Amino acid sequence: MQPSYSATGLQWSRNEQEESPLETIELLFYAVCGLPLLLILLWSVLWAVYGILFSIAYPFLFLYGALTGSSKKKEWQDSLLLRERQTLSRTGKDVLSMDKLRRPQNVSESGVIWTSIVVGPSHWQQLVASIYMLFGGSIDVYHDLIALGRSEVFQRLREMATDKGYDAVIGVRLDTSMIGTHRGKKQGSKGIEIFAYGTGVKLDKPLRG
Amino acid sequence: MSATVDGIHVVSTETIPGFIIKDQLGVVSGSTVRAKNVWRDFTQMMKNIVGGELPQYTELLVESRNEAFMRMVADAKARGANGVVNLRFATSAVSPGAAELFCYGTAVVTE
Repeated sequence: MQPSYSATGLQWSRNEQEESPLETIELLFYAVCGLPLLLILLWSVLWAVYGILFSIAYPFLFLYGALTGSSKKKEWQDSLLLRERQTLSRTGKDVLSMDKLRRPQNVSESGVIWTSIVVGPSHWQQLVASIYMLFGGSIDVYHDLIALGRSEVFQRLREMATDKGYDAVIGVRLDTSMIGTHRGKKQGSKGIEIFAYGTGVKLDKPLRG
Repeated sequence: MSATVDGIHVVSTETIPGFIIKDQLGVVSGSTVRAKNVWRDFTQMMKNIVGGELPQYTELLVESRNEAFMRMVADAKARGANGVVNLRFATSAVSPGAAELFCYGTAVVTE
């Protein structure tokens, strides 16, 4: 309620009488709708800030992705190859197989293990792919990414098995699915999930040779 | 003797090596629908522009699978089984931003 600037108390009381019906309505309005209105305001400010930040950062991120994409891929490939060799030298034979075990009497322990990876093509790659898609044929940018993701997930499964002390993984299955936050829109993430699982087994006699 | 989860021996193969299956109690399943919060979606979107792995989503899916798996195990336990064979996983995107993780298998009683 506004304090009256008039000198006399008489005027004060008269002003109050005149304004009081309006003010109660206003007070009621703010009491009921004040908090939701404030929240809507805050929310829109948040989105505005987010939009500004995003539009500033986007070109830099896009360029960064475009410039470092191939070198990062090579790095990933090299490190993956190294890790694969390391596990191979430790186990002597690839631990993964889709089969059942040929001699189940060997097994002393078994349990299911699983691992996954979510990879997404960068926006630069999406752009390149969309140009390739005009002409059709094989789209290597996506192929490379998914192939690398598959190798990575197999390697993770191998590492997981050896970490848990399993000698082999049998009945390996692979599952691929798309996940995205805003499908059909340009903004938002596009992800491909690659998931592998299998049954780890401990053998009395390891699978060497 | 063997790796069990909550007293249930789960394998993705047709038989549990070293055990004889006495009885089959039908298909058990567990599922979850999960979504990450707005902030994580935002960071992953930024990561997506650059490309490569999206670690937060990997984490989310592994967590959700654990939950679905534990639900399946609880289902098997409620049926009085002590093993699950032929475990399979399935994933579907119910809506943009949320994924359903589903796992199922055959509940069995072993000796």
